[in-house]
Amino acid sequence: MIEQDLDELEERSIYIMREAKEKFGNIAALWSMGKDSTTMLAIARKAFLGKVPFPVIHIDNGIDFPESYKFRDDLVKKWKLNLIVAKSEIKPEISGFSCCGANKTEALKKVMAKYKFKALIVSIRRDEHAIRAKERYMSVRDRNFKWNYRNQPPELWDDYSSKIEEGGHVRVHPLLDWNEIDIWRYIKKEHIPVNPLYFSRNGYRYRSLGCTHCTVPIKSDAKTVDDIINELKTTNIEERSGREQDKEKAYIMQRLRALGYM
Amino acid sequence: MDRIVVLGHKDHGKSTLIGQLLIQTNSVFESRIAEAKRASKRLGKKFEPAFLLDSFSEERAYGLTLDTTRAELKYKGAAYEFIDVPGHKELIQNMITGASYADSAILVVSAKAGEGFKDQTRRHVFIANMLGIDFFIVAVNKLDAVGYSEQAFNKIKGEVEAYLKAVGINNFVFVPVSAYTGENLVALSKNMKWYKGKPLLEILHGRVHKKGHGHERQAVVLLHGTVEGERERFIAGRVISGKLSSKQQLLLLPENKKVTLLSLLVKGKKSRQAKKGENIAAKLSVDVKEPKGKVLASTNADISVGKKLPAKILTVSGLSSKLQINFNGVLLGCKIGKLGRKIDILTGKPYKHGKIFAAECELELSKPIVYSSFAKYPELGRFILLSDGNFSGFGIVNNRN
Repeated sequence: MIEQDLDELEERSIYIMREAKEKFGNIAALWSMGKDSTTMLAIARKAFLGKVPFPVIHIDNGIDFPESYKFRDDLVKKWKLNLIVAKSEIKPEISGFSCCGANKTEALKKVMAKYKFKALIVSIRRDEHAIRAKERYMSVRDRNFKWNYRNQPPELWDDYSSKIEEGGHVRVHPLLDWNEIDIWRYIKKEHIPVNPLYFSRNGYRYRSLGCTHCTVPIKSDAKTVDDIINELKTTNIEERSGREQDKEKAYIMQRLRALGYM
Repeated sequence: MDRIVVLGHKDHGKSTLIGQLLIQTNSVFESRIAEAKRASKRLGKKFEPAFLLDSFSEERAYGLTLDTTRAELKYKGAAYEFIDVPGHKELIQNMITGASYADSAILVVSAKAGEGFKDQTRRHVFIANMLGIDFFIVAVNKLDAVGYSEQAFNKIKGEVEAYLKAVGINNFVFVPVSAYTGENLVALSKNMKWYKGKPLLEILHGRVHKKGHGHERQAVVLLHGTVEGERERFIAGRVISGKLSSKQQLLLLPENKKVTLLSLLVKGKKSRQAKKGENIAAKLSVDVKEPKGKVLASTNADISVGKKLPAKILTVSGLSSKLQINFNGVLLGCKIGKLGRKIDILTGKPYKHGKIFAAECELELSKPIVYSSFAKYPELGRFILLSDGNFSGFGIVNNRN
């Protein structure tokens, strides 16, 4: 896995978040308590002089891991986060595509409408998924949350001048350039708190975190951040191999994202 | 990391070339290759390396790239990011988006009968060159389809070389390849023994690059907003040149006012210095209203303030009478003053008619802005043109004669 210059990545992320705050004012970030969105919050604290100046949204379908809830509550206190919990109803008969689509996206729509956020920071990375690799740093969604990926506005240099229609919003992707291994190298460098589920217990660890229904751990003995970095240097398995969502039918991510999923 | 945009006409093999480079340098997960193989099979095709880049279902079904994407590979210890762009002329703004992030370019030109050096390829070269890319590796592709003929290679080489020289590009290398079969990309192919040069990736690797602009010593900060501290407001900006020190005397532009840098924060912490590429938060001896687009610079930096700019513009869809300019995030009305002769971006030659052209001109803005020539400080010398609110081209600021 390619390791990039962490300073350069960090500066780009800071720039994008400051631009988003300056341009849109009323913004929020999605926080899944995973490594990426937690890293994003750590960078936001640098960009905004020690605090996170926007609410963080947890889309809670009630079936996240207990470790995640505890991690969330501890960090909210430590970093004085303004947390919005968006409850999504889980229906036992629905899973995968319909679950992520119907439950998570719908819950997000309600929150966005209630608070009238103009932009939403989402910690997706290009190396996670070939569909996410097609994204812009700032990407427009219409009022129905649709991603018109067939006609994305140009984004030259570092100018993000996309227009939003009434009721629409912009997805902001400050971590788009980061690779999985960069996230872990940065976590190490900055001593960022990490959800304990990422570390090996009984020979298994979670490499990518979703909710309990759709995420399975991978075989791994990595018990520390250093172990994880070493594991990633030589791995030949994709990060999201433990995510059921990605394994269903072809183009599931494309369909989910077009409908407003992250 | 080096960023390389891959340019050329649709169907000449841009995505295939990147896909093969990823496979041959072991830069892609087996599961991604397996997914691309499944997708190829579902469509009744042989394995398409391009599907590693073309991930949308539509791109695969129709065999085209809709939008730009990027992929990284490592070669002999150095990391490279390849930017794939669409070749269709309707998707030119996506090509411009991709190319604006690149340092150099690979130009893919198919040698197959009926394909060859096309208008869209010429347009890509012209646009990339205006965006500041001045090194081109020309990959003459599909040599497998012409019996690996040296003659076929030389024919394309002659045409492309003439065009590059006509538009003022002198820094280029030619390499015959077959992207689909993966020949001359990472290793030399025994099918083209007549070729005495290096494989494509080796050419890229051997290139000496990252030249400075020769004006790196003066501190220049481009401001773009504010950040709130515990008790006070700081201005936010990015250092685009030189080094900045706290307590330094600087010039605030366009006000042309001498100011002192009272405090400086880098990465959220107090700092004595900030260097090129870093985002800063700063407190000045004066209050700055509406910082967006303003500049802090050493008193001897060569930066101008004004409403009339000597520029070179390029339009991809024509210019309407309701023309606007986006200059570092500031949107202003603008008129084209003295328009020099129009250049046909397909031939590099002057022409009279048509909406898609490049031209030297004087731009007249509705308000003064801070600028420099693109050659000196690229960040202060480039802009986007909008016609009736929509993207219609871009431009760069020329040196004043």
